[in-house]
Amino acid sequence: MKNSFLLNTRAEFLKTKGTAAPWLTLLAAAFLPAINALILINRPDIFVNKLHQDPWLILFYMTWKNGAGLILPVFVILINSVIVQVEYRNNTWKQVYASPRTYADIFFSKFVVVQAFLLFFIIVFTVFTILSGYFVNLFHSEYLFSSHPFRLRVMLVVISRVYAGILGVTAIQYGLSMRFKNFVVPLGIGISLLIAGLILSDWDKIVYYPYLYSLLLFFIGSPSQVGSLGLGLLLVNSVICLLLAASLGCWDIYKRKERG
Amino acid sequence: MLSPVVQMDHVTHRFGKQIVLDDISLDIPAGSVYGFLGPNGAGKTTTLRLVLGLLQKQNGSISLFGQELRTQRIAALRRTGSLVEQPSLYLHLTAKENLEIFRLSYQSDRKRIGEVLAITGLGDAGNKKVKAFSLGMKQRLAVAIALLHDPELLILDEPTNGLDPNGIIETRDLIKQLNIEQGKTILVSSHLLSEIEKMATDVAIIHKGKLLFQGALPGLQKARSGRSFIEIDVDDMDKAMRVLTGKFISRAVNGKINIGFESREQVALINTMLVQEGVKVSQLSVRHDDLENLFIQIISD
Repeated sequence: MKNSFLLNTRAEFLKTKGTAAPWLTLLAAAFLPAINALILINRPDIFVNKLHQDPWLILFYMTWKNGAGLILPVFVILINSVIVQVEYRNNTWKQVYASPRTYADIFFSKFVVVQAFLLFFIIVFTVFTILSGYFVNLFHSEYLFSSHPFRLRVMLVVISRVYAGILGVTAIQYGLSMRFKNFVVPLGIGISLLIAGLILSDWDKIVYYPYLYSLLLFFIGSPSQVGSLGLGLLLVNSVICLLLAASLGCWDIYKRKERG
Repeated sequence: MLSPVVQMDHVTHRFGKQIVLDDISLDIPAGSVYGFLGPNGAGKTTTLRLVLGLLQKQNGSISLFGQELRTQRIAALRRTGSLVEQPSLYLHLTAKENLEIFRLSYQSDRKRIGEVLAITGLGDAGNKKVKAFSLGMKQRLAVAIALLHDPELLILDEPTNGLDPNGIIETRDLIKQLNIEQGKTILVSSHLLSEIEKMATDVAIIHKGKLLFQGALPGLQKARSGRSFIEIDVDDMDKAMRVLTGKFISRAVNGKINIGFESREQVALINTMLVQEGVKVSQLSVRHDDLENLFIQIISD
């Protein structure tokens, strides 16, 4: 039926109610803005001058630099496990597969939920970053957050690139979480690949390594940009990775000998 | 005669090199309560998982409602409700939320949630989190989910497993009620013959992956009458066996000799032969198989 995918996606959202997923999203999104706020409050001698020129943009880059490179990929690895484990933990896969749903429907309706949590994370992360600026101002009026406008356009461009950069990892981790009953496996693989990527960040072929795309795309056009990175190539690679990983994941459940 | 709702034709299934189903053919008539009987590990759950498409078929063919499951999976599952092994429930959600999830998948009317809760006796527990449910309540909620879209075929794998006597009676009554009042075809597996005997119209017996019997329950009961045997208790088993060998097909079972019953004269003859050869006979009786004995006999052959 035409709207069955939408209805099943609604059902998938309902399954996350009362799980760790919303809390994980809030905590992960609050982590860096909170740390940065503490740093700014404790070291105004260093940061008042540093942020003097364009406080919002500099704070935004400061927060998203670690966000895009570490927190966001780790969040994606964790949120996939949390959402997919709802089925494994409750032993409900068999009931899902015994429902009149196509395999593509089962695969993609849950993937939409993962994407929704990812977007939720990005929005909350940005909101917390802005709140952290105002919070810092309560302690030190020397910071000029209140008197400077947001650089909304630049922020949106950077956020969009970071989101595009993480899509491939989302699909890879989702496929792995669907494949393995033991949540440690996708978690271990994801964290290992992320650490390997950070170690190999100077590698000339890093544009073919999805776990670093969000960081690389963040750096393009940022004050910390080193060397020339191809924005187009990274975006295309990320989208190819997303399509490939999602297709393989869906194919995997279609061809699986045993479901549920 | 109505065409079978479920038809399995020469289905063989392996896990690795181990054959778990060996050339199984099943015909489940419309409107029947089809008892699928076998000890643990016989292949019951594997069969049901194949019927639901949870296992990929390796050999043979499986049809539901006259259509090949492989090509018509969605259409078949739309008309089928299931409970396989232990209940599949989201423990962190309430009973109503669990039902809502599957209601959305089945696209059934919202009022069905209240109806199935009432049918399964969970009317007052709708807003309670499932993790607080007893096993019996979870089992009933799983049945409620299976009934949500008012399916024509219900597949229930050991639905009375872990239930207290009251729960067993209630589940059995529910199955009979759904079959009689709503005309549903119900495929119910169990390792307890006494359970199946009380609700099934048709029976299949599976053991070590092989189908040993399939037919209407009266057929099984008729087979029972042809399975009477003479049970003899003697002081010297070996000597008695030597006396009887060649004249009767006898076998030692639990320290007694069993011989297929043919006539009263045969009983007298056996007694005379044993006594004449100096074997003391302390008990000689004709025993009629009940279904339980037949079941044990079939699977120990």
